[in-house]
Amino acid sequence: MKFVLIFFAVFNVVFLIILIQFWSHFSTKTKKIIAFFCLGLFPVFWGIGVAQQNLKETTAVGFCNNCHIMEPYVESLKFNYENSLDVPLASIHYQNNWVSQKVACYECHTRYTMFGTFQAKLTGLKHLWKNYFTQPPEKLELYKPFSPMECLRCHGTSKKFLTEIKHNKDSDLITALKQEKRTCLEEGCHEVAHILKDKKDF
Amino acid sequence: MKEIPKLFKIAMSLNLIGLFLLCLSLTTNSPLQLALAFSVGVTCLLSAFIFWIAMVLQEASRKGMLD
Repeated sequence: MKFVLIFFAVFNVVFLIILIQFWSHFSTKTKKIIAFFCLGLFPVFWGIGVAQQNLKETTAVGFCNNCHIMEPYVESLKFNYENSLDVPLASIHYQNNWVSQKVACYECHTRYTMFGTFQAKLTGLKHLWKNYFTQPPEKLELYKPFSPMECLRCHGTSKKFLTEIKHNKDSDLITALKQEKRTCLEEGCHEVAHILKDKKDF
Repeated sequence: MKEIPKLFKIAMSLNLIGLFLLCLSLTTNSPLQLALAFSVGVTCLLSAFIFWIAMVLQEASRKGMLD
């Protein structure tokens, strides 16, 4: 897709060069049509294509890993949890392909609402600013508690989730989760999201 | 090249810069470069369109079509 978009850009440049080279040969109407195509119509559709492609690129795990501060978190996806007492959610989801391995960070850390992607990109710009122009914090923390809706999107209707004894011990638990009054990452539940090299962290 | 209106030349230059920057945003791996190239590129493409519209309106006004 990337190369198709670049090819179209070259195509537009060629058209503009032809227009400039043979400016006096073209009628006013032809010039206006070519100019409208090259300066108006094409950039709109092409720009949308580029934006779409860039959005797709920025959801990749490799893209998150570009910032040094995120490296331990991306590394934690490959943490070998088999001999560990804690089973980190990120590793188990990533290693079992429960989320796409290409976009694992994005799948769990984006709200699945109408403007979820847009909000995620705005937050990404904030991270960019903090990473490049200010001192990033030593310990990373989520802005808001992790929303259970991101988990319930997949688990909410699964039989395993609904029939799990621990989930039914408290009769209001599932309702409270759906209303975002409680979270899956509470102490005593699924409290470990990532296991970093030296420490546990959310 | 003499006959080409100045505004069209500006519009074309901005369009070429915009195309180049957006292509750069597609190929870069750096988040900062991507954000900068994309935002400046989009601004250049929009400005190119505005300059072209200005050129069209200027020509129309010269011909008395806007009176």
